[in-house]
Amino acid sequence: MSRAEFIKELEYLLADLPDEEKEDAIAYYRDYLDEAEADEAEALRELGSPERIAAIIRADIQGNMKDSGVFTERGFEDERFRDPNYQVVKRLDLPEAAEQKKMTDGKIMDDDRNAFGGETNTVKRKKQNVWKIIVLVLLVLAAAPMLLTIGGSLVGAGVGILTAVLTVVVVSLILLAVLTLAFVIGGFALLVLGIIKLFSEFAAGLFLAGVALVMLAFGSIGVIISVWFYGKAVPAMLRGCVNGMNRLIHRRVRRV
Amino acid sequence: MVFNTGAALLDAIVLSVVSRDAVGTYGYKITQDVRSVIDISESTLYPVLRRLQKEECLEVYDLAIDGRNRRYYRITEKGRVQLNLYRSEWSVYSGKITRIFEEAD
Repeated sequence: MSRAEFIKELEYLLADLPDEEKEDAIAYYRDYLDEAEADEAEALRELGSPERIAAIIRADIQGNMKDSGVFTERGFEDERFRDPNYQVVKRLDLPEAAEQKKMTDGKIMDDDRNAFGGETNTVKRKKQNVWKIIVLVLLVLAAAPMLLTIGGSLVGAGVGILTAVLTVVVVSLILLAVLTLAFVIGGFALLVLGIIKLFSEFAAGLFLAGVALVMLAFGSIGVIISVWFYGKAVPAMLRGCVNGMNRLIHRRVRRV
Repeated sequence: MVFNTGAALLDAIVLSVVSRDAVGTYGYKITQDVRSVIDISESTLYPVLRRLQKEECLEVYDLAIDGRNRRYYRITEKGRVQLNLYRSEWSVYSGKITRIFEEAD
């Protein structure tokens, strides 16, 4: 880049700055290159791109330079200027950039309008919601005594039924276990007794043995029922209970 | 140079470089003088000079040399006060740093 190109580019990049700022900067760099004379090419190379210079000048004018950069052994470093792809100068003075800006402005305006419309809508909706809530609260208050009575009796009935069912289940469980055990143990004992009795009093022994066999039959039926009951029915019931509770809780949560 | 130069220190260096010439000095020379002490890029000095000028620590005037105007920078009274402040701050600061370095032996 020649000196003339450099100055021209810089003028172009600073075109939208206040005249005083622009002229001062241009004068400085023109002067600088005048002084460099023999080293002009070197000076131009060292100065870097006009874009970077313009960006630094702008940043300083905006007053955000003081604490944002540091002067290191590699020269001035500023995170904002480090990336070579960083758009140091938004070339708003370029025709296409101006177009783009207009477009984005238009979009923003549209968005604003939309946002405004949306706002009024939500306000309306909110008002409706408030009325709904008030009516609902009044209804609940009016119905409270009735609801409480119905709810109370329902809860009472529920608790009663649940207790009854539980009692039946528990009693039948215990009964089944006790009966089965009694039949099996009793049956075996009687069978032994009957066989012993067979030798002294044949008829009585036979009778005892027969009763014992009947008892054992009942006992085996009890065992079979127990296996089914404890192995399948009880877990199934428990699972049913848990599922029912889950459903109740979830529904309640959903309602809340 | 592994240490960074903050904005205040650069201001102080520029002010002292300019203050060495009673008649003032010009941009290119200031840049070369500052660059003989710290390695900064040439393009960073203009904003510093411009800021110091706006803060009235430096004043500019044009001098005709070889048929064209050369812009000269000269330190103002305010600039001198500022430079003295920087110098005293620096001697305290660098003294402390030097002492802690010596104690490290």
